[in-house]
Amino acid sequence: MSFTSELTYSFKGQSVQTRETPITKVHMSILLFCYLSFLVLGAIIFQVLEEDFEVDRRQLAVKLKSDFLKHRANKTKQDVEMFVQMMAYFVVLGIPPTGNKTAAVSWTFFNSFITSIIIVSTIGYGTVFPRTPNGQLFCVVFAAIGIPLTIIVFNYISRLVFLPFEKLGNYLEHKGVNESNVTVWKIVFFIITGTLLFLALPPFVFMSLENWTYVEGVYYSFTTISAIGLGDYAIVSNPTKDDQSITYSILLLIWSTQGLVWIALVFNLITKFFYEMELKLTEDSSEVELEREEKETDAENQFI
Amino acid sequence: MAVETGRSDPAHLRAWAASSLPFTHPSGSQASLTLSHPHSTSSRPHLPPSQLPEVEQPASRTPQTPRQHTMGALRPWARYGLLMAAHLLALGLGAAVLQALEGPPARRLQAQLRAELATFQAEYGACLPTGALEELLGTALAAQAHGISSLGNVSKAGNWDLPSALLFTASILTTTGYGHMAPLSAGGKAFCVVYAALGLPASLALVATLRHGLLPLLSCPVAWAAVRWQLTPAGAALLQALGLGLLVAGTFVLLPALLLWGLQGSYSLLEAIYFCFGSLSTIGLGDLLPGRGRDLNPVLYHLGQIALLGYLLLGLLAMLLAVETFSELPQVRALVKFFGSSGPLTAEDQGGILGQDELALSTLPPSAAAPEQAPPADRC
Repeated sequence: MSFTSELTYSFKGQSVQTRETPITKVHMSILLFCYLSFLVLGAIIFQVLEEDFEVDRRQLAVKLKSDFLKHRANKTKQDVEMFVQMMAYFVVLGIPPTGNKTAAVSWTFFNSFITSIIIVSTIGYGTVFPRTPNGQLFCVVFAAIGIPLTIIVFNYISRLVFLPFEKLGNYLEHKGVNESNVTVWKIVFFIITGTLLFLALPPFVFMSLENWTYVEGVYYSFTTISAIGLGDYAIVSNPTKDDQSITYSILLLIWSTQGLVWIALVFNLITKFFYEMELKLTEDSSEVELEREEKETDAENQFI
Repeated sequence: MAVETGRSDPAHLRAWAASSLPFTHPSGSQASLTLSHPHSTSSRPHLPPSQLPEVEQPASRTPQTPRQHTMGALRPWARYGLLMAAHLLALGLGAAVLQALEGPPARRLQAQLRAELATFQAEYGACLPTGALEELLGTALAAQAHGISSLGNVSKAGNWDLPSALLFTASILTTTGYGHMAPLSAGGKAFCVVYAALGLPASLALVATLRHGLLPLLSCPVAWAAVRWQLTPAGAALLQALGLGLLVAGTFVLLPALLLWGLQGSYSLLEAIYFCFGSLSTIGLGDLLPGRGRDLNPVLYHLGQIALLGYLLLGLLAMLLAVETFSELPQVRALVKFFGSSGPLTAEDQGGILGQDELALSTLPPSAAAPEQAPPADRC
């Protein structure tokens, strides 16, 4: 809720303008550059802190497996159970015990970078997480600085996201459409386009690339862009995927970013609706009376 | 939207009005804070009674007003309470639906996993087919991703007992999303999407409404301090933000972390802080969930889950209040503006999807909130 709500908060008073002054563009580039550097720095530090531990655990898992397979004739039933428990424990640690790979997967530079983004956007899948104490400490510090930064940056991106609809609104105004209707049309198109781009259509892509069902695709899309990030379905930041295409990951990241911004704006609208409703419900009629009293007092005081 | 002041007002007062202090009255016909009319009570900054300008009231009014005030004082809290109760009920209903939808599939998956384990145990001898181990591990891995653990004597009645379901629903609503449990059925997934799509904005609206109601309480001590220590409005705002921030950090991060550290032997203090921070910031990695995988007394385990649930909800509410207070500081706004557009084209811009007239939002600076921002001084 924090991230989405913070985005919602920060969108409150800002509108998107179509003309960008040069100073803003320079500001924006500086900001984006700083933000990306921040993420890259975070990725490097995470990698340094966590990679060795991951490699160590992976080596251990592979060794235990091969030991078991070699000496299984002598094992009792309890040994077997304990072995499987141990393997399950590796799973909980984020080290998949399948396969024989001992090189780092989760904490390569690129995957660390992705993990930094996942943390800082508060999606937090939980498929990859820091296991060393230093890593955990750094995670706290990194997130404390990174989350506010991300909100500011995403504020910027919100303008890009809304820009086409702003232009649409201008076009409609040119055509002489009433101004309040223009706002309605802008919002309607915004919602429809976003729903198509972020919820309705991507599942088809996932169905072919990831072998999911349509519902699973929608579920994944929604839980990602709403920053819930349960992690039961993860494309990026997935320890079992050794050779994820980098282009695919980057495209997904860009898509997720746009989606995060879009849904925050949509939630903004819905929240507004609920808020006005709830405000009416809790409106204190006695306070309305109080104001009437004040008015009367003023009226009387004028004669004093 | 600041209080309108005139040139005749002292500069200090103009500065006060121009800042986004919680206790300034929104602009309106009766809102002009002019010191030149000492009898005016139309805008009452939230000062302790001794600071209010003297108001002459006809004696005939006084017997009536106390009664109306006390009656009025009861009703708002009852209304807020009902609102919160309604939200909690929605939480409970969501949990119940998910429990009904997800209980059976979770049990099935668990049974399947146990069966595979048993088969493996039976066949582990020399005639074990190659790759059988990998297959088993693969199944265990997939099950773990969906929250079905093969660890320990999982004889608990499935993952979806009511406290667990409640915790899961709360983690969805707050976008924390621990992921220690996840819906398996298509119906459950679809329900999650719809429930969150509506529930998230509703929760945000609730936080906004609560903040609305809590504002007088929050600004009371600050107003007192501002008067006592002769703070400027900007200083008072800073004090409020810092105070609230420290309070939230202390009560909702440090204190729970200490508790967790004490109660759960396997956590270091750092891990406890890491967990609390991860939960409150809604990152929710879910790698360290208290009580997981330990054979705890079921009652204790469920109590722990309910405690975690309460912590999530209250902690997030507190955190959002603190963050919002921070974001209204002039310093922060200046910072955002530095990265933002050039000044004038913000709230005043008509064409925006979030035009100024729609700024009745929760997130608004309180000075622009609805008219009842001037609670009577006796509320303090």
